[in-house]
Formats: sequence, C-alpha cells, structure tokens
Amino acid sequence: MNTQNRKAPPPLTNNQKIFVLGCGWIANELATANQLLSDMPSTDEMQPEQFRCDPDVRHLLQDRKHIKLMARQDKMAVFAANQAIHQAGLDTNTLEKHTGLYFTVGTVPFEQSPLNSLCDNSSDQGKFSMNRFANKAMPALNPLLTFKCLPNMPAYHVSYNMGIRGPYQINYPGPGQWFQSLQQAINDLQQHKIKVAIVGAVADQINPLVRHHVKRLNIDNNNQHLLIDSASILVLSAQDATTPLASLDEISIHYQSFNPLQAPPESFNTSRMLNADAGAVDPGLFIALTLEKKNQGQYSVVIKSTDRINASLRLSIP
Amino acid sequence: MTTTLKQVAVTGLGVVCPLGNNVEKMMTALFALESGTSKVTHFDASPLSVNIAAEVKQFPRKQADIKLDFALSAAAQAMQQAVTHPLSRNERTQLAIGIGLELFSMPDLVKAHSNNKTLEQLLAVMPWHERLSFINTPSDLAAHMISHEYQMTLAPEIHISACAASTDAIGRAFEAIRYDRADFILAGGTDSMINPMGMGGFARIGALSQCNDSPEAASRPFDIKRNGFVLGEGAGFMAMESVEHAQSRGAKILALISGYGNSLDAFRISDPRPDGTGALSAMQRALKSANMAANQLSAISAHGTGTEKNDVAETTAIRDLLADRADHVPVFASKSMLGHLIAASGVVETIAVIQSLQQQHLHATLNLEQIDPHCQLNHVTKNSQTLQLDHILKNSFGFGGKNACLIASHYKP
Repeated sequence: MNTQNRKAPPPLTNNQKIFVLGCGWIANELATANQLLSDMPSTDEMQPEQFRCDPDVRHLLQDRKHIKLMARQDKMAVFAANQAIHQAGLDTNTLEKHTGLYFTVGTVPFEQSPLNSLCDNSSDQGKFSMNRFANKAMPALNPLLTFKCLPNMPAYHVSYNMGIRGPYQINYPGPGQWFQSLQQAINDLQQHKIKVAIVGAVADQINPLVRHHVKRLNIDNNNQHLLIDSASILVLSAQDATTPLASLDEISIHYQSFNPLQAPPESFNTSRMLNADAGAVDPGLFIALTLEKKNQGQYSVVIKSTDRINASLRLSIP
Repeated sequence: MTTTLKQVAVTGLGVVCPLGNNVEKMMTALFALESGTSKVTHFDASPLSVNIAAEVKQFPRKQADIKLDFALSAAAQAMQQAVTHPLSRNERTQLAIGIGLELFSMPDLVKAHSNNKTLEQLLAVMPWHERLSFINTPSDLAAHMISHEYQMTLAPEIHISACAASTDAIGRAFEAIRYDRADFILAGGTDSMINPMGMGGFARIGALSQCNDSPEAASRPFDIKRNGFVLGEGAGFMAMESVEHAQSRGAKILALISGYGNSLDAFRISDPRPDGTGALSAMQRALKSANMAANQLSAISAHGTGTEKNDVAETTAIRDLLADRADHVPVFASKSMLGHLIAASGVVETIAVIQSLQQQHLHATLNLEQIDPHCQLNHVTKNSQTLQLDHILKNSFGFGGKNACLIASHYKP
C-alpha cells in the first residue's frame, strides 16, 4: 500500500462529529438481521432467487402512478429512505434544499424477461439482426423500461418522494464508493452546505447481468458467494440531537491502483462483514443491523473491496 | 477554525470528440461552426427511426468497449500537457470520472442466448481477459485503468449522475483541491451510447432529433424548429491542482475553476421543472461557492440540448439568475456542433469554455436561425465573438433532475 508518507485525513474532532439520527434497511425476508450477522443458512440449500427483494411501496409514493416507472432497486431505495427519515423524526415536507443526497448504486441490472424478449426477437439463426432488433425487438419492449435501467433512477425516486432538493453525489458501483459518498456527506455537513445528509446505497443483484459483473472482478471466484438484494439509508447531521443513534468518530479510505485487464494477484482477497454479499450496501447494511441491536459501545466497519479500496469507519453507540 | 481555501487551477486538457480527437481540432471546428453530426457508421442504424449521430471519427478501437479507448486517449493528452515530470508518489493524486449507462452488446447477448447457455456457464470456461470484454459494459474499468496508468494514490470517484456526471466529477474535484483533500486530480468523463440499445432506447422515448435527411441541421438548441437532441460520444479530462501546487511544479495554468454547485429537481422523471428553479438553484450555489454575484458573469455555456422542455426551462432559469442583464450576457450551446455526449458532455463543453477564456473568444450556436420566443436570451449566433471574458458559467442538467454548474475563470498571473 503506497499510502505511508502521504498526509493522512485528520480524524473527526469533537466539534465536527457527525451524528446518525435515523437508519433504514431492507432485504429479502430470508435474510434477517440475525442471519446476516451470524447465522446464514448454507448457500448449498438456497436458490439465488430466494433473496430477491421487491417491496410494495405504493403507499410511500407522492404519485402512485409512478410505480410503473420503478424497478426493484428504486422501490428498495424508497422503502429504506422512508424508514430512515421517519426514524430520524424528520418531515419530508421540510427537507427541501437543506438536505443533501449521497447515494451509491450497485451494478446496474436489467430484468430477465425483457432481456429474453430482446434476444429472441433480435436473433436470426443465432446471430444478431439489426433489422429484427429495430422492427421486432424494440417495438415489443415497453418504452417505460428505459426508466427502469438508468443508474441514477434510485436517487431520483428518493429525491422526488422525500422532497430532497439539496446537493447530491451519486456514485458507482461498490462498497468503496459507499465510503466515498459518506465522506462527501461529512464534508458537506462540516462546511455547513447542508443540515441533513441522506447517505445510502442500493443493490439489485438477483440478476444475470449483475452476476456477470460480480464475477468479472471476483477474485475469489467463489461459487459459495451468496448475493442478496438490499438497500440501506442513514440520516446524518452535524448537530447533536437529543438521542442520536450513534456518532461517527473516524473514517479512512485507502486505495491501491491496479490494472483490471490483468488477472488480479491471487493473494488479494475480499473481506465481508456480513454472511452474504450485499455489494454496495454492505457497509451501510452492517451499520443498520448493528444499530438495531442497540448495544452500547464502539464498532468498526471495515471493507476490503475487489476494486482495491480498503476503508474503515469507527462509530460509537451511546 | 478558519480554513484557507485554495485557488484551483487547470493545467492540462484532453479531448476525443466528434469534432476532433484533440483540443486544438475541436476548437478550430467550434469556431468554424462545423457540425459533427452525420449518418451513423458504427453499425447499420438504417432500420431505426433515427440514424444520425455525432460520432468520433478516425479513432482506432483497441478495447471491446470504445468508451475505454476514448477515456485513455483524453486522459493521456491531459496528463501529457500537465505533467512533464512524474508526480511524487507521496502526493494525493486521484481520478474523478463521470460515466454513463452500462449497456450490453446485443450481438454478445444474442450469441449467449442462442447457445442456450447462461452467462455464468459461458463465463466459467473463458479466460480472464475474454471475460472482461465478453459483454460490452465495463465502464468502471476505465477508472481503474487510468488510475493505474498514472499511479493515482487516492481511490477513483465514479459519478453516474447522467448528463451531469462529468460536471459533477469536475465539481467534486474542485472542492477536494480547494479544501486541501487532494493535491492533483484528473477529472472528466467518457461515454458512448451510439450502439443499438442506446440509440434504440432514446429514439423510443422520442428524445432524439429525427432530421435524418439533414444531419448537420439536426442539433439546434433554442431554435423554434428544434425537435430533440443528437446523440454524441467521446471523452474529456482536465488536470486540476491548486495554483500553488502548479506553480511549485512550474506547470502552466490554463484557467481557474472558481465555483461549483449542484441540485436535485425532485420533479418529473424525464422533464425539468418548467419554472427552472432546480437549474437556478445549482447556478446560484455555484456563484455562492465562487463568492461571486451574477453580474460578474461574462458569458454562459448552456446545457442547451435542443429538446423542447429543457431549452425553455434553462432559459427561464438563466433569465431569473441574470435579471436585468439577461438580454446582455452572451449565451452559447456547444451541443449544436458536438451533439450530446451524455456523461462526457459536461467536461468536453467545459474544456471549450476554458479555451474560450484563454482566447477571449466565444463560439456561436450552430443552427440557431430563429430563436424560440420562449428562449429569448443574448444568444451568440452566426459568428463567433471576441470580447473580454473573466468568468463563464457552465450548465449541465441530467435526466432525473440532476443539475450541476461550474464557474471557470480567466487566469491572470
């Protein structure tokens, strides 16, 4: 790691502390808090599809007709955001311009059914045909599908339904970038650009395209790798609340550059805090589950991701 | 505790775009009012309802995903201009990149589907390098390839805020240097959606101009006859560092980035707020960050897509921002010639802004023959203009209500 001589980021001082006011999370009901933290069933017994998450969020929408524009990751993000904002005791009518949104989106999925339809209707004797694609495959697709596969849509649905109009940062695609989102939120809070920061991530991973991407950078090549769908959101403030859920004491992010076109060194292994791979949501989900237990103390959140980002966070639960 | 904010300098520029594959060629074409739009040649687009686009020309493809080639070339140009001696490994160096939607290669997918094999089954027997290029989607690879090439020491930032992505990459880089969180950042973006899925998808929702018979006249921001944008492609990067850092290395300072602001519309999924308040908010935040008033702006580089709603909303926002100067501050739209480079549009148009500040010369908006009455501003039309340029505002507005604005300033040593 070539970070030894560089200026280290200063630890958060007392008057710059960041407080967690609310948190929300969602995963498939098979991935309960206890299972994710300590008691996940053997992956041999589970089918990947069992960890798909598709919450009904119609009651949370400003306009119920928007449900037809929403992919599963959009719904998961709105569900978790609503839970977190509610727990923080905030009113979505007052968030507006003093609230920032810092959001990490996992590898972008594409639904299996339209993917099959596209392939079937574009194929001519096993080869791609532009004529069939233009005249048969595209007309067969629902045009609203465009809105379901854009990576910035989860952030859109959260901002629209929660009334957030402040600054934002939307990044991609893994847990290292979640730490970068968190760091940016902390910066904006400490510079008084905002009063409240919504920091979250969503990962729709029960999907063949996502599995492909996970495998292309998955050094372990581990077939036991249990991917789950999930979202998590934290509500942060630099102002001490009467009963904050936790405070963030220190954050650090380190990186070792690498050539992704070369096979990675065998010695590099990823590490995971949960008994399943929640992708970009991993660190936020771990924090949400830890906060749910309400056990006082200091906790470390550490990731070592496939894209060579090592990051850690220390939080205290009062 | 008071923090001394650093001035942020731009010391290197690199571009691959439909008007040329370096900065000089792009600027020559912009000042000459040349269109980059023509019939699509990358694939047979004739069966689609739209078969024109602003393609990058005469550019050798090395990777399966051409976005990677664009990014590597533009990054190399910017680094070559900015860094004559290698940066110290002890410095905090970083890449900030805006990328677009990851689209898959239809031929690859059809091949897999026709063999009745799942992707996992196909990938299991493939060598590593083929796995990476089998599906034409690894946009995040560009971040790590460039970071590795220049031995960046901080984790790359990968922004996905649609058409505002590379503007956000530059803006966040500006803040990181300003607040002394980084020493040197290569910021920009890369994108290409000129492929069957990209063009088919945009055409399906009616966002693209259908002027197939007159490609050069298709992109016409703020014109009464505008009917959608023209898809473009390319990449751009800017080397950014503090003025004192640049001076200590003996690097030439090309311009300053003085302000950045962004905002969320929280409105409709595909339309901007008609009253322009989302865009206005981002512009005001950029001015506040620059500690500047609207009357200090010399010109505005518009987002100017040529779609009906965007151009009206942007006009409303600019008029509210400039108030009684709205009929005097020159406004120009680079997309009239470049097309819409989506995630890379912000950086490539910002590079044009920096060149305008250096040359004290603005290019005109092509095809702006009759200004829409709802888009009345002091548009630069027909001929480029020479004038005193101190500060130029650059707007970028993305699908899903992401608004990002930068202020670039003339550097006077």
